Amino acid sequence: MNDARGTAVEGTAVEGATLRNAIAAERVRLVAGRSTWWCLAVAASLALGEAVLAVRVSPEEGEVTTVADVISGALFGQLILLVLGVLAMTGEHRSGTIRLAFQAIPGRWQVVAAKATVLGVAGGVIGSVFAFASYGLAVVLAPSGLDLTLDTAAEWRQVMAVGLVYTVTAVIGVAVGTVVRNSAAAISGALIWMLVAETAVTLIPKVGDTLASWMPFTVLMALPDSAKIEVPLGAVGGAVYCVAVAALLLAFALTLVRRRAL
Amino acid sequence: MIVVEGLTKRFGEKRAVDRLSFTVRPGVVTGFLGPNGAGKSTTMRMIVGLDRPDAGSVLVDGRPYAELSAPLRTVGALLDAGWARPRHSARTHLRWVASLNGISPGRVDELLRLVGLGEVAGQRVGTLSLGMRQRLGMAMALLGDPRILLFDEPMNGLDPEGIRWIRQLLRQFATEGRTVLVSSHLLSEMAITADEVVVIGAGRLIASGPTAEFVEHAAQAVVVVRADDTEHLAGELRRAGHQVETRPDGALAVTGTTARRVGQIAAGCGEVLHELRTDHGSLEEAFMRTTRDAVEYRAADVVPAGVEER
Repeated sequence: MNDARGTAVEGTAVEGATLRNAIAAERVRLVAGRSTWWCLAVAASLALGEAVLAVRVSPEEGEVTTVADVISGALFGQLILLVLGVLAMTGEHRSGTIRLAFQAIPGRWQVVAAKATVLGVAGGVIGSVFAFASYGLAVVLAPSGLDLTLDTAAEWRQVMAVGLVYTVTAVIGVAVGTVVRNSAAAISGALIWMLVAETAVTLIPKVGDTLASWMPFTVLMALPDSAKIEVPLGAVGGAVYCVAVAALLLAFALTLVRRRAL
Repeated sequence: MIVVEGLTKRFGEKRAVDRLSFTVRPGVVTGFLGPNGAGKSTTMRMIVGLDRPDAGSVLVDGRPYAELSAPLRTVGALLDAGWARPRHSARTHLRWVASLNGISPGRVDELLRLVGLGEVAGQRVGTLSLGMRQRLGMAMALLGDPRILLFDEPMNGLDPEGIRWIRQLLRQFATEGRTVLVSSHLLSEMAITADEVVVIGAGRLIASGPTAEFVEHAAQAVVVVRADDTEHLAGELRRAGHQVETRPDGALAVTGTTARRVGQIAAGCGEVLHELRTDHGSLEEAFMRTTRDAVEYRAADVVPAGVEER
């Protein structure tokens, strides 16, 4: 009895160490990868560039630049996080290094979980940094008379949501890349889902519109949007829903990677 | 110590590995031999948990691979030197592998120096020559200072100096008391490197044991003899009941006898000998002889059962 419990405790400790090691390894990968820094640079310039344009180029007659306009450039980065997430897995398959990872971590799921953790956390931090940096830059450059103060809950929600968009998208990217192991197939699949399929759902007669309002990326992208939140569950509910979808997809990927032959 | 017990792996209808059992002992170099497609790589992949067996088991130092908490510290394997991200530097590649099992970065630099890659540690893996990549793979296998080492064709594509380097390393690992399993097609190389062999064909075990014993049992000793009148001597030998073949160079090859007996017969019929020696056979010959059946077995699969000779 005592022995059994001792082993179980030891087992949990080992599992924890394994996941920590996998996360450490993933950080080595991410920091060393040249593409990571290129992607970040591109995403940063899009975010900041859009912030500058939003406040310095006069909007159409009768329109006022809003906080949502200012941070909208940071949302391009979502696509970059999606691609980084997918490539984190498919790249290992293409180069054969997934076998080295599985040799070192025979449980396998920790390898995927580590990628989702590292990219999800990094994505959240970077997204928030981009959003607040864009906002700060816009405030500094704003012409006199343009009020960009974050004085409503909706405006705070818009800025804060960017980090969540990055995190959720990165985790979904890792899950897709785990299930579909080929880079080209996984990336085009994820992009089609995000950019085409979610809107195409409206074409389905009767249920189409209801269905479309529940599509994960549609709900996700409503959060940093200026429009009054119209997702079925409200802002907080929508956020929770998106995290749940990402978590479910990841759980599916973790189960699959443990069972499937290489 | 690696203990393989009744290991079976099917790919569709084909049995890549078929009820395979053998033991790899520590302190010696064990050569893993077999024709192409015999199941060597599949077996090695199953040892490190990359392929799941349909039946049977593998124990490394008494435990299943999946139960090792930091496997690289127990089993170091170089199964394919091409498994690396071409854009990462040699050092980054090793640091990544090391961190997967919590091995310190200091160990990475130590090993890069040991395998002679200290100078190119910062170079992209994609720009390294095949020989350098094999060295990098060797460093990777050694990261966790493992008691068990597996190498799949480590000498492929290496120049003579590289082959010699690998041979000396393998010998050194065995001397240090590690368990070393190495597959190779270079049989002359294995003959001098491997103390023991495991020979498989069509996924099944053909032989396992000390290399010398395998050669002795499987390759027939041949007495080679030259004389003034070879025809005459050949006739005498045949009359004495021996099997004689004339080689292209004019020498006679006599099987199933000893040099002493051939000498006696020659003396008896007054032949002057120019050469008399025993050819003990090579690992290659032993390999060819024993695996031929396995190769033929696959080729004969399409022949209807009734045609088979009994």
